[in-house]
Amino acid sequence: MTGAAMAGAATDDAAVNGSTDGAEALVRVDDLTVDYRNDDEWVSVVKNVSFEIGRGETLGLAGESGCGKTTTALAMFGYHKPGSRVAGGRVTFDGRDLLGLSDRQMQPIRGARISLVPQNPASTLTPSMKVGRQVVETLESHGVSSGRDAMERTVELFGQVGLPEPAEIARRYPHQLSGGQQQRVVIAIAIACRPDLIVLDEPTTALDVTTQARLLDLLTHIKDESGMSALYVSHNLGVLEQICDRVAVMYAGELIEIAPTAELFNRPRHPYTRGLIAAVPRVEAEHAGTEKLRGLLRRDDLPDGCGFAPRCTYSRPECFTDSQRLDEIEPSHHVACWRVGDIEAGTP
Amino acid sequence: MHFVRVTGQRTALAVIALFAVSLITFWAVELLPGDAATRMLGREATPERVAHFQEQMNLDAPALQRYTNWITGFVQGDWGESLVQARPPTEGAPAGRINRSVTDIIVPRLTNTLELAALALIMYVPLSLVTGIVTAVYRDRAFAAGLSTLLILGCAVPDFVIAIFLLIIFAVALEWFPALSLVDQAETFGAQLRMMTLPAVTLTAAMTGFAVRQMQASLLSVLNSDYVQFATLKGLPRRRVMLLHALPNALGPALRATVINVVWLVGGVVLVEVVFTYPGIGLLLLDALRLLDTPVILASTMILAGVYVLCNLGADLVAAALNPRLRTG
Repeated sequence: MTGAAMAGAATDDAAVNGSTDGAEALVRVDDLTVDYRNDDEWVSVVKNVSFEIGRGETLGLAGESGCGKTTTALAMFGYHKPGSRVAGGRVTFDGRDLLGLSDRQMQPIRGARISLVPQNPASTLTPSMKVGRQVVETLESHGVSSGRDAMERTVELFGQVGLPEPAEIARRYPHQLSGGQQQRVVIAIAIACRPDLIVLDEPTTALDVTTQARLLDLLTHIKDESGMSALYVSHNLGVLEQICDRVAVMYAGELIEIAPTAELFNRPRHPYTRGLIAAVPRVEAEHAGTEKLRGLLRRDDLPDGCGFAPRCTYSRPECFTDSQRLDEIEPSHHVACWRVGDIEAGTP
Repeated sequence: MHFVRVTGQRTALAVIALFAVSLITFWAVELLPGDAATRMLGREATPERVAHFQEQMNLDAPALQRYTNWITGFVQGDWGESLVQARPPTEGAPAGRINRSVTDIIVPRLTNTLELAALALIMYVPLSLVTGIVTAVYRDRAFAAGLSTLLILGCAVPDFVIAIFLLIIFAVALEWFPALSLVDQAETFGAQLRMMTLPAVTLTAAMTGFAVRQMQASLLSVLNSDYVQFATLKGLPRRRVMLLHALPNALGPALRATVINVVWLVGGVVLVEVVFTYPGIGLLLLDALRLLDTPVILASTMILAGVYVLCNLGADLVAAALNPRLRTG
């Protein structure tokens, strides 16, 4: 028995939102807007974000700190942090609108059909509970297996994620493991119920480079074996280029460009994406120095129009006042910048 | 092994602390003006009578020798005799003044105090635990905010003020409870419980505010932690997230608050016993201080200090047992 066994019931209204490309998408995010409370007013941290994740597809979500990546990722669970609210939009998973469900209704989906690997393994596992138990309780809560079976399955999972002496590790507390081992435990929990979608929120950022590389190999391997969809959130474009089918770029809460990985890296169109890619250190320094990013993202000083305008080399007065729409400028390449044509021509 | 070593270290420290308390108390009483002889016999007593009393009570020996005698007896369980309380005359007892042993005096008083403290703690633990959890979990609701405000008020009002208000309202105006808690004269358990209610409620009220605020703060930080969010997004039932992921990690600070409270109780109980004339060890200590009855002062102080030290020791050990980081090293 796997968590996917309940999938069938929910597909009836999948065709309601007649999507243009890939009607079979596993996840559809439409106009998602999430606000955070700042003193007495609500500030939108995610604004009208829309994208899809196909079955078996890995979508990368890139952007710098504070651009709303994690908030978007958590919305896949119908979850928003205390002090925030979903102000609008829909997250449709396998035909069901998750944002309309209560916590209780979400419970069988969370962890079983959509699972999470968060950023900081050191604070993700409950300190007072042995790591084996933390896997077992996930299996038991979703009725995958129980008792001794669940423990055996846990040890098996620990082996699968490359933990040495899995039976021994299961009896340890989180603080007795290294950061890399902790993250492997988290990954074991995330894949325990064979989910349809795994949300990876900067899964390797808190780890050292060698561990990062090994974990990335593991994640690629698991993905290839299981065929599940993934949303991979990272500020590290190099990682996204390796692992993703398509990459979406966020800036100041808005999606500004989305394209297949090769297309995005070879022909980035939005000035911000171009700056980001130019900033990736490379051995062959062909992009280096051409389009560096200037300044910082300042949320307290966003114009009404394009959020990137204050830092953009190509900005015109209209950029500060008119908001941008994500337009398909080439098949499956969407950009939110009305000056795309001029940028291509090289006129600042 | 680590746990055993910590236990050994803390126990040794506790013994040293108690020894220091006995030294300080003895010399502090020694420095007080007057002595038991004049307190007992009055100012007009002839020097001969005073000398006789001092000789009888062995008060003419040098202070250091008296301290050494006392402490050697004390560790062997012989806590000496009261300087002032006479044993009730019994048949066949030798004539002359024979004083009550300190143990005889202290045991019933200590029992009374422990009963009072126990009643206060029985009310305190569930009250502060439940209130702390409710105000943290339902922090967005109006009633939780109201409850929190009430608790801050409770923290701010001194315990003797609470005691006096309770006395005025429930003993004087409503006459639901007696104003004097003479539990030794209570004939039934029910009557005794009624006499204990007001002092126990005073102690509980004084302790709860602080503990709830600690519990609330620690639970709030745990509820906002990454691991509680992860447990929720694993799809665990809310009750399981609360009981197995949030609570065990929030109890540490709440436990420390309880220790601070029990330690406060050691002093608070003296005050409350005085206000309600409750015949416990606090009232005994106060009376003994008035009469400079050194053996009784020392024994009561050692018991109060012992409770203090034991609570701290117990809390360290329970905290170590709760926290796998300390338990496994």
